[in-house]
Amino acid sequence: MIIKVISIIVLPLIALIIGFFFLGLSRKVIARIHRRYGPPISQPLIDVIKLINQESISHGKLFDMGVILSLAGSVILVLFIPFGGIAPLATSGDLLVIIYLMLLAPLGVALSGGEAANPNVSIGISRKMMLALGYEVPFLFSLLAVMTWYKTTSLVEVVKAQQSFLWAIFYLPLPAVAYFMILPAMLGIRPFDIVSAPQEIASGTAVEYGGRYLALTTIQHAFHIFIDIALFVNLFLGGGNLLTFFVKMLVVFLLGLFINAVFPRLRIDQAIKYCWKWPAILALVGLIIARII
Amino acid sequence: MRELELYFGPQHLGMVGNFSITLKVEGDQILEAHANPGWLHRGFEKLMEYRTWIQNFPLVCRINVIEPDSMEMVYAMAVEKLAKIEVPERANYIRAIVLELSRLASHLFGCWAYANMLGFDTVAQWAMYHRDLILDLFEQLTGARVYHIYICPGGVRRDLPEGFKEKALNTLHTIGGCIPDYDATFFNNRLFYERAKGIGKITREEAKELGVTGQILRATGINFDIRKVEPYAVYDKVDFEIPTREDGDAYSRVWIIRDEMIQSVHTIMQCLEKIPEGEVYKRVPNPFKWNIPKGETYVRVESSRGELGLYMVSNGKDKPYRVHFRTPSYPHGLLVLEKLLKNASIADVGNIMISLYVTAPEIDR
Amino acid sequence: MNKLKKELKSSFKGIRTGILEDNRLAVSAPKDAVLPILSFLKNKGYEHLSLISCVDWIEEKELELVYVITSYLQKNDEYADNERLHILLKTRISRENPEFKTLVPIFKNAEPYERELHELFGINFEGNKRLTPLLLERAYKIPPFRKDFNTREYVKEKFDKISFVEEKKNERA
Repeated sequence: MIIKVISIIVLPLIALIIGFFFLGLSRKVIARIHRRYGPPISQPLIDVIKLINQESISHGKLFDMGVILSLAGSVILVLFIPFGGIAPLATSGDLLVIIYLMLLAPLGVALSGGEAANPNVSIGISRKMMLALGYEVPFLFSLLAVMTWYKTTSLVEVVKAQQSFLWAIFYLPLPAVAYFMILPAMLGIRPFDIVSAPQEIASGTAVEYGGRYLALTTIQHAFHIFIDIALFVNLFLGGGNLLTFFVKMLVVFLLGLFINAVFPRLRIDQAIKYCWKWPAILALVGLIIARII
Repeated sequence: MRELELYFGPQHLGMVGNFSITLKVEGDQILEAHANPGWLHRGFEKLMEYRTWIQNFPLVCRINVIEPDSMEMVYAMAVEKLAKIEVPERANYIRAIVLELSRLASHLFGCWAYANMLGFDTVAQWAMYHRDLILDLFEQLTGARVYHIYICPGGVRRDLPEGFKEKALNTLHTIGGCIPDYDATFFNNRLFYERAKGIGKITREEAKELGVTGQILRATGINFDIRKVEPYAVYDKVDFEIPTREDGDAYSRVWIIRDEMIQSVHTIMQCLEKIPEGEVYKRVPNPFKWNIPKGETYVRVESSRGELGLYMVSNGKDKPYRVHFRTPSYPHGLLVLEKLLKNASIADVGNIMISLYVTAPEIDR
Repeated sequence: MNKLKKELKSSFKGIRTGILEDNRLAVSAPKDAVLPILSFLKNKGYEHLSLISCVDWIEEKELELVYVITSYLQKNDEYADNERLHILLKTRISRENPEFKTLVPIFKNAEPYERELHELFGINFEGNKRLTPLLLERAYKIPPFRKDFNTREYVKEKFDKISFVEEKKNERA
């Protein structure tokens, strides 16, 4: 019991540290690809500390609550995802819970953005919802494929089954590839940074956030990076202990970053078309194969 | 769906320069666009009426930040035409070198703006780095990085410094050697094709009707370049091609920018080879008492964005009576932009604007 | 160039032509002849309106409108002589009551130039539906690009009156 309580407190902290490390690392790596020096890896953390100390303008109750809702959704989600074998809230049906909880973060942003009544925000929200519609389809297919293959809805069981023998990526290559193909869309990085698109809609949903709100959304973003990659590592790369898990996450994240560095941004219609085409087909075929075998 | 009014600029991350577009949007579609310049209106044409001929010379380059040399060139040409000054041959070669270098810098800047707008930071940063190498050359040549104040009436301000040729060739080889990198990452990128193909399409007839010049016209297949039609400096003595394309969309405009950069590199190399010895500056009379005979003229050069013209009237005094710049972005940024933005998607506002290479300081002057 | 000059002289009355150096043909025409000449030139293939400018001849109490017309290429890779020709068509209108007809029906790209001249010289172009403010942010008594508008005086009048704002301390917005 005490271990459970401690892990409930510690796990989000670890997730936050890893998320911020990835945020800082991405800036450094991208800078090196740009032939720049780049900021120190601690820069996002410094920014957040600075932002928390700044004044911030609220646009109403819902504006505040939405930000907190999206952050809370992410924190709870972290507790369901096994990290090196630690999963404090894991139950027998946690994959289903994860699917539901993943909707909380965009919902919170949508609620708070709606209160701000900035046209850029409303366009950003509509894009976010449409993009979510796009990547949820292949995402659900690949989750279903994993669930069908291991005949369980528990993520912990999935990880255990993989650790006893081969990783799921060897049995289910197609859903794994599909998940990896939509990973940039889930993380909101190029070629799918349509939601934030600074040059088109002035950062979209983030445009009205300043000071503490921006700090909270940055923290939420750090959690978000952790969740999406950790889920991939758990589902397909066999989890691992604390160290191997982290290394696997790092590899996946860096691969995503390199894709991010060499592609421009898609338009929203092209992004949805893409998501529903190759990743969805691959994941569906993978699902059918998993069902038949 | 609700109709919204959206302000694109001047405070907008996708806006390059102080320019603003008011958009009426419904969903993701633009119903109407109004270009809204004037954020940078400094009244240069009026200011120039208050200053002597030579005092205007450091002023003209400040009209355009991106490519100041063509501004200097057009002013020097107008003054020379009115005062009937012959420019020494070597000065003409140096002018061509400077103009092509600045065209190269300006096109790299355009690549930066376009890639950056598509969210393509990697290529954008590379282009900015290469532009900086050219600015280094300018610093060695003129002592300044952005506003060079170099091409003056009567020639150029000073001769090429020692070792300039080697350094310039070195830089050009560096930039030319990176073109395959640019091709691989940007110009041949499938997503660039997806984003730019068919966007902001303008037909040949529409282009002619709206007074379009420069690469936007050449992208519709008309081989119109003032360097060929009405050669100035030494463009009749060097060999270069005018790249054209047929489609008239953003994709072909950006490709023309890329092809022109290669042509510029070749032109500069030829000029550096052929440059004769001699004077670089024809002395003008005492600049403080310099009266230019009565007359009027219209001169034009091909800047990196199109036809840059200058209408100048002298009434025989020591100051110009009237100057009026015909800047390429003026029709592009006001008429063509408004036309092309109609019924476009919000995601393509910056795409269209930057593929037209709209520079705000030129429009406002 | 001479052929065109003759044709112009024979088709339109009351015009004066002069040849400036290097393929530049200056044509002075009375007010009514301007639009017919421009459409005549457009049909001749001079279809690129480069610039509409205005010169304020304050001593003669007249504003001079200048239309610079050139041509695009007719054929690729071939530059006929007439394609290098610039035509500077000039006409004078009164300074007190500056009115002129719009050029938009003939050359579409005249619109922004006319807007600019409307704003900076106060010329009213009859028939141009969009003479809205373009570059300036406030209204001026005298259109600012006319010769009798003194920028230095204006600055003195306008900006010297603005009092300094004292910095407020210990007050956060």
